[in-house]
Amino acid sequence: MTSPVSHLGVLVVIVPLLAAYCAELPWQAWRRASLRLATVTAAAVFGFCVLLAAQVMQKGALLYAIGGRPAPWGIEFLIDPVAAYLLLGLSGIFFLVALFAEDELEAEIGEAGLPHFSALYLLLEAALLGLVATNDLFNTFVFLEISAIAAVGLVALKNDRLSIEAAYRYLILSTLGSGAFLFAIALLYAVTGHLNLEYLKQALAPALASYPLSVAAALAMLLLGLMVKAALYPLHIWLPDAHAAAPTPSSAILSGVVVEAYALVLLKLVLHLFPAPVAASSAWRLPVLWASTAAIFAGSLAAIREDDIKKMLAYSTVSQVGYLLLGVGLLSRSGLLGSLLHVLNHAVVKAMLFLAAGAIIRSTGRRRVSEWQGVGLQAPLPAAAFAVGALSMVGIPPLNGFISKWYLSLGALEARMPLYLWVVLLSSLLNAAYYIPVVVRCFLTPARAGLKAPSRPASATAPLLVLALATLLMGLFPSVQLGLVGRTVAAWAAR
Amino acid sequence: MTELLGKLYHNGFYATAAILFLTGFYIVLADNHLIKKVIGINVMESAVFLIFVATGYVEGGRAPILTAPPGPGGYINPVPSALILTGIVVSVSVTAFSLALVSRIYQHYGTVDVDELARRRGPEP
Repeated sequence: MTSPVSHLGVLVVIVPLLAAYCAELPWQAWRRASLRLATVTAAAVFGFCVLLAAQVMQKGALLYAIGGRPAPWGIEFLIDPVAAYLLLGLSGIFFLVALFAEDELEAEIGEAGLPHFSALYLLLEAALLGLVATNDLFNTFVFLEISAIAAVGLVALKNDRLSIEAAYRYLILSTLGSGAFLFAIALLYAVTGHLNLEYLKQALAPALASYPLSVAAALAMLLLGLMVKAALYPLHIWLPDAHAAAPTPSSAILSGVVVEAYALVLLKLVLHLFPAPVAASSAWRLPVLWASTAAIFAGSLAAIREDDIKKMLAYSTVSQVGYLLLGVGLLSRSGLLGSLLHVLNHAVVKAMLFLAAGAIIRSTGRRRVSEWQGVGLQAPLPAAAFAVGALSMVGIPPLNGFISKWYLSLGALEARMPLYLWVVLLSSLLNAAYYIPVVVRCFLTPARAGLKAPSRPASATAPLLVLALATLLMGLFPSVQLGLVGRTVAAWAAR
Repeated sequence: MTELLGKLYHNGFYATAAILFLTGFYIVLADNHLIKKVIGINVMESAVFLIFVATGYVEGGRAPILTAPPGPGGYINPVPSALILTGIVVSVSVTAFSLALVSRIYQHYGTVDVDELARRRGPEP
């Protein structure tokens, strides 16, 4: 436990946490530098994650006891292949969005807001990576709360009436979700006496026999809490305003990473923790499937009606959360695989879409999609990135959105619920109905007389390029991702 | 009936927690006053804190300070109390943050009533 390499698992959380406090240093000259600090920290964390992933590939899952106090008393971090895969992806997106923010953010929130953004951004990164890594139920709650406060802060940064109101609604609903989640922890602790996930899991099977009601109530509260946080329909009402009112880099992170992380916690806890008869029970699976289906359709239909590009993307997120949880409800191997792959696939694509939309709004001054004629000529690179993202969301091969939908469809068949195959297919048409016209309008209609696009600095275009490339590569070589997560998912599905 | 009341009496913490939780939940969803919603959140969280701490309580137990003699019921379980200390800190920060947001909303709109807010905002911005 002496070499710094052996502490990588916890550095991933501690480094951004400490940097977050440094970002708020009060000197005026520091304001812009704080944003650079965020980028450098995010880059370093990404580096740690690469090393971690390499270690996990070599030696298998890493268990880290914080402060050297082993479970069941201490808090543990568990970096298994799935966690390593997600840490890598999420920290990469954090780095790219920070890079983008360096150039674009000041125009949106002013110089004085930059240190606040950097601090909240790093706090959020620490909390979300912690959520993925932790193996302790109460620690999960603490990270959930840190991430909620940081995410609400990122929405409120713009400080205009819309974003403040959206932030308030987000905070209240998110806290309702946390309350339900903590209630579930209390029930689980009461029947098992453990908080470490591994011990909890082992104690839960006998506890189920003696206290079936408490365990069922815990599962219900857990699902309710996380479904509010992940914005699963009809608990999504806070999402569109919050994600649309936030500054562009915040929206990219909120829609691309935060919601996914919560859906992932749901997946991890429900599948890993609960004994087989409860985990496979249709009493929770059917409601989740219905809610996902409703989310997929309602989100898309709302997006079709929406003219404001950021709101349209936010409603698209509502429908994508439906896909994330559809596979969880199907509970077949391919369905779970589809959900897990969709976490990162959607994260990459939605982050790119928001950044591209932000860049287009910035260079053309047009936020309404109906005014995007010929935007592809004025801002070629953001518009091209937007087009790639849009096609991926529709599910056109070989982009990564296709891979998620492919596995979800297979999952529906494996679970003998072919109805949901139709859900996936039909919803792809709906996705096409609002994404494709935007792309067509961007490139195939003559430009309206308008502003000339300013030339974009290299660091603002680089994140878009990398994300677009990732979208393509993740679609072309899905076997890399499958190799990382395949075994864990098979273990989940077998239970 | 007496049996039910007896059960409720012996599980008083849990019954109280359930009532508090639902009361808080109702206030958050049904009340139109933004600050009252924050209060509702606090009522709800108190319920959770109560039920959590109650799981560690031992009748007649004392705090587990090992140099002091145990109470007639031995020591209580300190883990829930320690966890809830964290929970209370989290809840205080969330309350402070939401009150700050409410005061900003008041600066922008001049009201803290949900319906009035919707009226002053106009149909669609």
